[in-house]
Amino acid sequence: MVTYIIRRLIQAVFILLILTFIVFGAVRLLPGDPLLMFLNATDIEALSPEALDQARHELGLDRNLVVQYGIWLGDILQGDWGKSLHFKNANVLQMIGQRMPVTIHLGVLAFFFSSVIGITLGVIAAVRRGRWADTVATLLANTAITIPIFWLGIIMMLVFSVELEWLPVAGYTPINEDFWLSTRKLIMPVICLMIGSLGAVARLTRTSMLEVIRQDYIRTAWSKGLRERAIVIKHALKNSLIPVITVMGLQVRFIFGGAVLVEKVFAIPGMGRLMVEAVDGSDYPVIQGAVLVIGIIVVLTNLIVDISYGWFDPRVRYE
Amino acid sequence: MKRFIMALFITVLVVGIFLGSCGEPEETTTAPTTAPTSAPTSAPTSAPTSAPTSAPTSAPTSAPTVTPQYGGVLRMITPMDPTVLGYPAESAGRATYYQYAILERMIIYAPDVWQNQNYQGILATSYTFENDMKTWTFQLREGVKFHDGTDWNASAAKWNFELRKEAGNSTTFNSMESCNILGPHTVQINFSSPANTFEVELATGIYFISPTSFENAGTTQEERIDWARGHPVGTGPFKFVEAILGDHVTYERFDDYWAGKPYLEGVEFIIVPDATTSKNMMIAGEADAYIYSEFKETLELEAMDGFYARYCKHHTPEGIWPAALEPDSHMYDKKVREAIEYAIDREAIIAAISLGSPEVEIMYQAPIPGDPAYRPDFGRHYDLNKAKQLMREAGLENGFETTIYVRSITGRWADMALFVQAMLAEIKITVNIEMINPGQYMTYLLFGWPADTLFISGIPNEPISNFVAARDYACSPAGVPKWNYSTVQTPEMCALWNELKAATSPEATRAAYVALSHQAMDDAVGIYMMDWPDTAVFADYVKDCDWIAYSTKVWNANTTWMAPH
Amino acid sequence: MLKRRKRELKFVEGRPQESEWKRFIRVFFGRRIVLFGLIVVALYIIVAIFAPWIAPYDYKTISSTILSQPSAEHWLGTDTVGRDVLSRLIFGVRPTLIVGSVTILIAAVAGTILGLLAGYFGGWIQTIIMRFIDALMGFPMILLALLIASLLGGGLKNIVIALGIALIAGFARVMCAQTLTIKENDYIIAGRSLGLTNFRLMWKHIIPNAFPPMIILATMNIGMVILMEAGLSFLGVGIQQPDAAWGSMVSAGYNRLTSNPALSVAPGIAIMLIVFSLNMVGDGLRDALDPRLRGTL
Repeated sequence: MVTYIIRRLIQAVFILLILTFIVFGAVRLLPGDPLLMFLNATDIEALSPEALDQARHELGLDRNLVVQYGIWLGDILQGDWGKSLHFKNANVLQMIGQRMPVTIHLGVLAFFFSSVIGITLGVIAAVRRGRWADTVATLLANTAITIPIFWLGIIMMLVFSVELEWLPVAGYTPINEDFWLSTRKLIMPVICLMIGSLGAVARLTRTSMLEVIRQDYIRTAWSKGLRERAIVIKHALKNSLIPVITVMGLQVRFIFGGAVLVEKVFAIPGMGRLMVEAVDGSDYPVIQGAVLVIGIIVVLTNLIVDISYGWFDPRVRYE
Repeated sequence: MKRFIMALFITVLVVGIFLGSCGEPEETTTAPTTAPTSAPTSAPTSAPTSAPTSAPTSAPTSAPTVTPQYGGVLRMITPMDPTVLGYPAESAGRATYYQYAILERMIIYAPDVWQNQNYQGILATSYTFENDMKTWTFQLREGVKFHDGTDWNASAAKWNFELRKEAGNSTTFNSMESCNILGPHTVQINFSSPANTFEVELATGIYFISPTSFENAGTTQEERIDWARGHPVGTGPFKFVEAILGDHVTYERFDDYWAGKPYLEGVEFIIVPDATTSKNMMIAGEADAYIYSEFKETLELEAMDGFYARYCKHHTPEGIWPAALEPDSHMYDKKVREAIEYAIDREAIIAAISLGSPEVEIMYQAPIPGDPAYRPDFGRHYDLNKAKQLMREAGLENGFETTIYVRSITGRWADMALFVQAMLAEIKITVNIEMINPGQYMTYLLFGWPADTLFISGIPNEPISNFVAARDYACSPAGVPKWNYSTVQTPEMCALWNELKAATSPEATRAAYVALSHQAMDDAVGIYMMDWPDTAVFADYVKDCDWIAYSTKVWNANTTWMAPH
Repeated sequence: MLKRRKRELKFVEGRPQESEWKRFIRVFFGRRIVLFGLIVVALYIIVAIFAPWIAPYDYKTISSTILSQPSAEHWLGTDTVGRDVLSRLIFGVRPTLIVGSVTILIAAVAGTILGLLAGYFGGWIQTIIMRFIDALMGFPMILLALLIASLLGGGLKNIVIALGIALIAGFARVMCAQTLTIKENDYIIAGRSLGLTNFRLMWKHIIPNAFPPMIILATMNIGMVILMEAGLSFLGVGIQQPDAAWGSMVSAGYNRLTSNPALSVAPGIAIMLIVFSLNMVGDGLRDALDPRLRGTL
């Protein structure tokens, strides 16, 4: 088990190296000269071509790509994540430190509710297969994933905030500042964000639950006369969750993706918006730092998912 | 057959569900708002409102009918993040408005600046220039304190000027030879060449920060600069509290402000990237003002009860600019440029994209009415036959293919591109529309556009038009970055541009400017289309707020107050 | 409904052997909702083919009647430059389906090749390819697509490429897992001992056997791609005017939901319907093709 985890961690480091290098290269091909984002000079005539070259040199933009990557990596390991080209005083690590908790807050809520509701819907659909509950649950799960989420966000905002005035329109308040306000502000973003994952989780739970329900041991349990609910929850659910966990692991990535759109609609200062704005403005250090952090989180969740298989399925061995 | 009927039934059911879930918002929300297309809304309310409250000193006296009240935090929605806040040598670009309430300039535009090119004193009470505009002497305002409690005086001014020179990124300050303290509140600055745009720079981009706070901020200059970028310490009516990128920027009242205690407790900028969200926040009362608002949302909010909108004209003429630098390109030929201009029906385009608002005015030339270079009868009005004839004369009756660059795939510029595409098809020019991101736009703008293309953009304009002309019609060799709003460089224009740069008196500058402007218009440097206003929306209870009342470069935040609401 | 349940119970008890094809037809067309999905997809394709004859106007022609409400002449009103929304919706099927299918084709082909090579050869080839795939998986798809699209610039072709690359990882993973399972089968080992070339084994034996899960994945992903295109245009990178996929139409019109709801509601519902239908077809395909469900359905 320990060796397995260590081996996976070493692999994870390699994956992150590849990921950051790919993005490092891709970012440098983005149209637009990053130097101009950095200088943003009002008096551009004052900058002779020599002065521009000098500035480029100081930022290390004139060197070989691999060398630049090496320097960046070295700096990262020493805790120097660089500074935003656009927001010159903004330390990348600090920026990420400000925004990551926001996205995690949003993401954890979305992850939790999409899992709970998705699994519930899936179980209902499987147990009541063919009845109206199945039809309704399947329709709900499948309709939910068909809506463009930014559009859903605006529609909800119009209905619940502007018309009914039940919820705040937009913005973010940290949970420790004002729990109630923070939660009210997050209701709509979380619904938007969880809706895609919810459908996927519900569908998968239904399918794998259907498989398990027909296994011999469930039928045996049934014949022993245990109460239906106990069987379903204890045996069937635990066993059918194995593939679902895989999907839930992948949801982390989807939630980060969805956050990109949701954060823009609801003016939430999270990682998604940071990334989009950085890509828009060719802000290299920010893109690279954000990619690294998101990569670490996704890779680690995958590792946790793999380890948790063992808990759900004793047959799994770590080799 | 049974299956088919069943399938049909489900179709109806599912469609029903879809409609049920989506139909609701349309019905519930159409009621309160009026369609933006409907009859031009209320022209009178939008005229540059409440008698501009001139200098901040006059604030208490200019109170119209109601007595201003103290208290309240003004919450302003804005789409942009702040960049550099407290290191004046680095420009904050468009986000410079974050600096208005905390840092101050020596002079700012006076309310009549568009008519008379007047300035009003803030940190300076008066100034003179002599010696062919090379020597400038400033009399500084007394009794002004920085937020850190230190005094504003001649040595603080000198220190700030030297900080700018040290940064080395300004043509003006690069030619600064010396700066002398003539008295406790008198400072003199000497340039090696005529500084004929120095006033505009002082009024728009030269802020002053506290030398003491800066010097105490670190051991190396690099550390100090870095600190200053995020910690502005100025003399303005508000003190900087914090800036969280992507979320908010907050200021609190500076009680020792030289023009009297400001009315507001503080100012909070709320950063919201999406215009629809911003509008909804205003309706829900989650903000008191929406600045740099989208035009459509501005009109929609103005049509509702409880809001007033402000339209600030002349700062952003918008149009289409040709890349005509390469001698072998089609657009190098003035006839082609003229043909394109004659083929474009400005009135049709503006009728569509202004959504029927009278606030957008058609332009046919760069100078605005009242400008010394303005010629009332000048302009290439829509005339398809003339356009076709010019294309024939240029030997291009079969047209050619070109690209038009737009900065966004939706919105008014995208719509404008579609109109231009359709209109130029009439003279057989095939236009491909291409979207470019901000990074690409900046690169093209500074290093030049691909040959023989067009791009749609606004041009930042200032009331001091010779400054703008010197920037837009700059004659520089290829490779040297400049603002490539126009890439047309005729020998006549270059000669006049050099004359303008060398002008040593306001009169000479003015004469050179008029000549250059006329030449540029005659040479068809670009298609000025419309005077697109900068906009803002305020809740009714926000009073005496001179935000963009006459210029986007001025906000005397100390006069703003809020009635009970 | 009741009747169907009874029949099912009988199947569980044991059913006479039936041919693979017959079972596919029975299971696939057995669920009405799948049939519904198929009909919708077929309708969309018909609309795409006959768009010029169905649409009342040309989708590109701009006019001065901008932002008109739905009327007898314009059933869904007109957009910001006076184009007929209904016609744009009808012509919009084409780019929408192109984005959906070509993207998936790119991702599936590239993913299949990578996954196949990795799974078949194993060893360091597998390590390199799969770590590379893992790296792509470590990044949200829409951000990856946004990055690539910003790099290439907008436009239909580039959006398709960007989305295609972003989707490769999922296909490669499934293909690799499939190949690993299949290559342990006796017939592959036998084939190898008979001296069949690697290429022949891969092409003739592994790909056909790995086909079902890939086709399921592909169908399920088409809907997601259509939604991602909508998301990308909301972020400002999208298909260039004057062409418009529905995603771009929704994102161009969402800010007029109160004044001109048809601008974004119409394409929005069109998207929901096609995505729903494609997912149902995918569901049906899985029911019919997934070997694990063979005994139960």
